[in-house]
Amino acid sequence: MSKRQLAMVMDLNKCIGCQTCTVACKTQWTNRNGREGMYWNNVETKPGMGFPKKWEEQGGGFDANGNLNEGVVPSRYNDYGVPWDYNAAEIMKAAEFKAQTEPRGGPNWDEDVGAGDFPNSYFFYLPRICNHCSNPSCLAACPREAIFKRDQDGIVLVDLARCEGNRMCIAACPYKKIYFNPKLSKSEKCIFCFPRIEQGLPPACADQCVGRIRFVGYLDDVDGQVHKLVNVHKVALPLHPEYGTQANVYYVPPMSGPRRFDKTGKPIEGSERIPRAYLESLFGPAVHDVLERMNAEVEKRKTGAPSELLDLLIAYKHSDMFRLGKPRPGFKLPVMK
Amino acid sequence: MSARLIALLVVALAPGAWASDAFFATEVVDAVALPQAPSGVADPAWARVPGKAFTLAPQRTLRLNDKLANEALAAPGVSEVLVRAAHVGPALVVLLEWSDGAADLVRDDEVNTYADSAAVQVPVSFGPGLRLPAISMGDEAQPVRLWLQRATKTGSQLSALMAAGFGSSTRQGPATPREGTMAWEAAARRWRAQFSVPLDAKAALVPMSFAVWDGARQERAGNKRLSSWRFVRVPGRTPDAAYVKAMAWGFSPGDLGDPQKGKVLAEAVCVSCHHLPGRAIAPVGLAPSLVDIGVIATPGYLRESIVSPSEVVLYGPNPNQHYDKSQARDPNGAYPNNDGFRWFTVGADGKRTSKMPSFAGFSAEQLGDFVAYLKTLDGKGSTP
Repeated sequence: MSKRQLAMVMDLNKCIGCQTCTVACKTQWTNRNGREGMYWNNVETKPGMGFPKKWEEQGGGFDANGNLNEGVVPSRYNDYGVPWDYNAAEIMKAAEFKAQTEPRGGPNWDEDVGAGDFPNSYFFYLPRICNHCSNPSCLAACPREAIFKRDQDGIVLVDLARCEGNRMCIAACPYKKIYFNPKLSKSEKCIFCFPRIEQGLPPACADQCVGRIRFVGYLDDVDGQVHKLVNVHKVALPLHPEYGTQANVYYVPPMSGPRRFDKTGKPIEGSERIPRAYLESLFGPAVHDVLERMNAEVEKRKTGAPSELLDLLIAYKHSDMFRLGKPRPGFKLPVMK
Repeated sequence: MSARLIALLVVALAPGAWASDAFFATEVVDAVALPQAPSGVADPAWARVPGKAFTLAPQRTLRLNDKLANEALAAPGVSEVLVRAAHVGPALVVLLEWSDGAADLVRDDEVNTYADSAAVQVPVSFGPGLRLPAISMGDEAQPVRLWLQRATKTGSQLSALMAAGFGSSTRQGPATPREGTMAWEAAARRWRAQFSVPLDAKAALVPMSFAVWDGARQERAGNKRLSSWRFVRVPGRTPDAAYVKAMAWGFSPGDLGDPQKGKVLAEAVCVSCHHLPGRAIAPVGLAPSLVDIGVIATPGYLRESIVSPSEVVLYGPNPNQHYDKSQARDPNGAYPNNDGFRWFTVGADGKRTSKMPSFAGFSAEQLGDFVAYLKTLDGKGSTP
């Protein structure tokens, strides 16, 4: 649909769930004007319900024949969650400390809960932004064709002048990454920080990532690290490829980490803490091949042999992770007063 | 074929004796002249204005993708709107009244609720020699003007729009909606909304259609209930006889034939692309569904669609709703759209031609049977 495609690769082995990306995005774009409840970037714990709650069960995307699926628009009260206050005044009079309204959800509602029984419990973090899909189902659903995909970089944007707030896009997005702004009565979403991209800068979430997990570049840029991870080493996979939208955020799947313990507390040799079936449910059957290849690469590196793949994933130089062209001469980031 | 020619053709082909009484009795609201515009829906002046009830059918011609809204469509959704009209100087003031289970208002604290709404639609141009616009928000040759009210805590948001086909509506005037006049009568569980439509100094028979949205049924955008084109007669003016005759085709007993014969014909030729009640063989979205077409379309439009399908080329759904997995992906992984689901082809000159073949070869009798059957599709039929 577009001439070029920007993509992001996120290495889940390095995400520590610090939410710096979430805050970078929020302060840049969504802390005002009816966007307060939106998280264009969120980090959720997997396994878990995520944000909005159980988004994976709310339909959308395309069926196996390439036809748009039906979907559901989540509720603010039940699925996204609304902030609540505590009875701060009353506790000074020895009242029980409690929330003033019943807490029902939030962007990190089930953070660090995960799955599995002690001592074999497990979880990992999954940062999510709009996938700027190659076949976006939000774009396909809009009866007014108010959503478009930019030719020069494949960024998917809502034309707010055409948007009538009908929310068919929200029902259609299987990742639930379009949000309704109830103050403006328009739908809004991650814009891949296109004003920054146009200045040669990476999106705020990627720039601020303390774990250096995010690579940003064009898929067809053969010297770029995104291209190398996705197309050469083939270790980065889209989330839920079965949704049929050809997502352009790619994830390096989490390697299993520590072994499982047996009843006596001894590690089980060759066991994996995160079930493969669970990873397959997120990243598709290709995840097995990717993990075998990454494990082999680690073993190879242990022998002292060089590994371009591991060097890439270590991300020695932050600036090498972004290939977006040179910033405009004299350009300075605007400073918020 | 030009719009003018079609209108003449429809008149010339109209078989049998013709009387306009039935048309005026069922399709036309007689406006009452008032010295000044009613101040709102509660103005006692409205008590002197008789109303006429029109059937509304759920929009099922084109299926959208909201699961809950589509589930609501499966339940019977046919309802009525009572229309009153007053002629006040250079305007027609129209009062719509309809029943609803509860008042659903615009909210700024929830993101998956929808407000009860109502709209009136009027062609930009109408009169002798001109056909009516497509009921689904007009078409490129015949655009429409629309006025929309969405219920709020204090009344309603009123927007003026123009459109030239499904999905093309564009707001006119100020970006922020003005305050409209819409009021909920809790005891009767009825909405009333007043609209003001500018009136040409000569117009005597004004085509108008109506739509309402029930927020509780997740209705918004194309998920709504609508009427076919109806008319408001301006008091003291005489409608052009030829225009009345063209608009009224299909409302006299002699115009239409045997719906049973028409059903046999329709089930033989239509179902490979269209859905008929209980007969859904074609993939969803391949062509307009006809399950409610009798409520939504006028007999003249149905006849024209069969004889000359490219006179009005419906735009259809967003072309990206279906992609073609048998084709190669582009370098970014995107599949091309499946143009099999487009309702038209585009020529080298950019002109759209409907994919529906013309059935101009049918006899006048067969056409009458066909339209008679399609007019029986009253929105109560099962969804495929």
